[in-house]
Amino acid sequence: MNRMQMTEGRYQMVRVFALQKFVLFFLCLLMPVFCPLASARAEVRIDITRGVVEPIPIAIPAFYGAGGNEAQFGRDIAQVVSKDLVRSGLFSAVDPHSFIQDRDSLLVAPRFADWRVLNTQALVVGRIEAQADGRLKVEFRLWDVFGEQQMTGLAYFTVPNNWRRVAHIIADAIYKRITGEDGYFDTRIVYVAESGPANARVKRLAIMDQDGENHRLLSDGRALVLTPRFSPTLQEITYMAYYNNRPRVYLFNIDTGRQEVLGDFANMTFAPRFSPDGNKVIFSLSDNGNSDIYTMDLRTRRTQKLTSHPSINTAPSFAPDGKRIVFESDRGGTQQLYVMSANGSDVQRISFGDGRYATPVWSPRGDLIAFTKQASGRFYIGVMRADGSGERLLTESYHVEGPTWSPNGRVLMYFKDLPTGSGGRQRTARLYSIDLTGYNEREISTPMDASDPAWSPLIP
Amino acid sequence: MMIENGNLRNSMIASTCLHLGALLFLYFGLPVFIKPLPAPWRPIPVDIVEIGEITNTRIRSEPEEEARPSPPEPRPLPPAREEIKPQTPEAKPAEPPKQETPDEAAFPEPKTKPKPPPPEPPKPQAQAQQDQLASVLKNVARLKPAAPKTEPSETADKGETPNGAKGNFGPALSDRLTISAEDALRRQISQCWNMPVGARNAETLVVEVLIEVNPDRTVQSAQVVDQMRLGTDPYFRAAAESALRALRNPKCSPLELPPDQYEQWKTIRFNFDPRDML
Repeated sequence: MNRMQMTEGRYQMVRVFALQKFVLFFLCLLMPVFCPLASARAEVRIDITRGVVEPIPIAIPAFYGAGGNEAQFGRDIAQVVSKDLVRSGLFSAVDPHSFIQDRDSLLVAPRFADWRVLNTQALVVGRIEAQADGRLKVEFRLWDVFGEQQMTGLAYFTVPNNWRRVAHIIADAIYKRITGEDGYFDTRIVYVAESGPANARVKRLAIMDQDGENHRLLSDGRALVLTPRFSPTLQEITYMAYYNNRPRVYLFNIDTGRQEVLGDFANMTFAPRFSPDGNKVIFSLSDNGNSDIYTMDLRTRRTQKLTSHPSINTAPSFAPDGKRIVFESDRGGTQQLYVMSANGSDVQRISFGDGRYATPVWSPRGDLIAFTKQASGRFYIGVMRADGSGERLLTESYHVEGPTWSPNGRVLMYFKDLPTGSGGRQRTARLYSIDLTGYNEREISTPMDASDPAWSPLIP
Repeated sequence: MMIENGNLRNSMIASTCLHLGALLFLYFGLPVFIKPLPAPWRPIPVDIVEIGEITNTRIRSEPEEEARPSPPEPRPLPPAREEIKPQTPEAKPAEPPKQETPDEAAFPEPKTKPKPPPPEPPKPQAQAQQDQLASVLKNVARLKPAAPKTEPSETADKGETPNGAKGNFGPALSDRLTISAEDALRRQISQCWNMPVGARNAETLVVEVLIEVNPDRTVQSAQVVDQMRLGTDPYFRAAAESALRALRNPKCSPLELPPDQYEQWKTIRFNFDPRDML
């Protein structure tokens, strides 16, 4: 390095010093301007990553009615709404005896402080008025007690004997407004009512409201009825029945009572189920010890074979978008769940746990698949995501089977049966429902033994 | 008068001299860098020290020394907030009940808007009811290793403090509110937050709420930051309302904050995030 270069380097040095100094100088001058801003920016940030899972306390005073008759409807409707919401497990009813504000003053406006001290988070205020034409006007408002504002307010006109449905519709509206999801209270359950000894079991088709009310039998018991399934779009069911030991697939319209035979198949038929648009039925036919999956178009009655595999392929269920189908198969050696596209291509196994998997049902919400699992001599009802991940078993029993989803995909219903009597030769079967979080398992009371429940869509 | 003018002039001169002096001092008194050329930046190894999940100190305890690594830079201000509009009672058409449903009526607007009631002491809560829904996403088979996080209320009762400083906000927090104060507040609000665990895509329902706090530590106003999604997504609205209910719950009022540091907590940004609990 010669002298020239050294001098040049020194000049550079000096320039850099000067620049640094200027920058620092101005920064110092500006400091008093920035400092207060910086301190004003201090803002507390808190991440809440844990919480509780508790029912929301809701107060539902009897709906106001001026006359004695209306007042009675007011009490009944409030009670049904309350029972619906409490049964969902997401709400708890505030004890009416603890209410501070009376019914009449509630009509003017809620005194929120009076409800807050009861830890009420939501308040339902309703009123019933008889109309000149004999109908009832049923109106309600849902109040957010902490936020002190109305969340929703609706009114319905109905004939008096329809009050129970109106109550379910109101419960659905409240459920939807608070949870963001559609309700499922204005729905029905079809199931197989069982009676008689184990060796001569009578199996009849029965229907009831989702809360067990309005129970009635749909078939007389001469034919053995199996696997009823609701159409996702209509009040229509498909089921199997054995007449003279011949299995047939039937279509039955609940509102009109019209019944038709969908097919009279020579070979054994299993588990018919509707497609999401209600236009097709998917089922399996057995042939020489194998079974394969077919769809049938309900208008053209044309069938299409979707699987062709030398193994058992059965219990198909469509995804709500109609693009994929989940089914059970023993093609891998044990009974497992598989998903394929709607035309039968692209088959992928999704269940990999221990034990055997059966009766998969795709949630109407699309996110989960419910199934029955058998492992170590016990039966389970579980859910997994559509790709097979996140398997959770919600309930277990000696025998539990046949999950069906509520139309909003939040609740599962199934049946459990247990051996009873001397030597366990008799059996008793009951329906249960459970929240998909795995809590709030409840029995649905039925007059007879019950199996194979199927949940209806919301009644139009 | 003359004397006064003279004084003024003298003061002016003195002031100018002093200012000049200060400026000159700033200019010449700044440190001189010996190194001739700016050396390339070299990374400085820094140990990140994890802060334990559990704070032993309660909010009322003596001010403790900050067990934190170097204080984080003040974070940039969030984008300007929109004004929250008062939510007006909505009137929606009713679904028709069965065949006999010719008409439907919407409610009129409520005539009287009740004024906020005077703040009253929260009623002592009965022992939290032992409901079946006491924890999230049950699995009878315990397929996953029993996660301690499945029982939120219990952990909260035991006084454990989840380390929520994660996710969007990094280490979070102003420099001055101590970690124990932060923990106390987090624990308190966690007990009042009813999480939307069973909702569809619950993992996407992360709600950010900005609150303003009164000096008496009660919540003055709470505003969901994502107003657009609030108006369009009913699932998000339900989740946001659960967050607002937590902040307005009398059980969680007043907020557990150090009373003498009002300036530090008069606005608080909460991030309600259920993802860890699913």
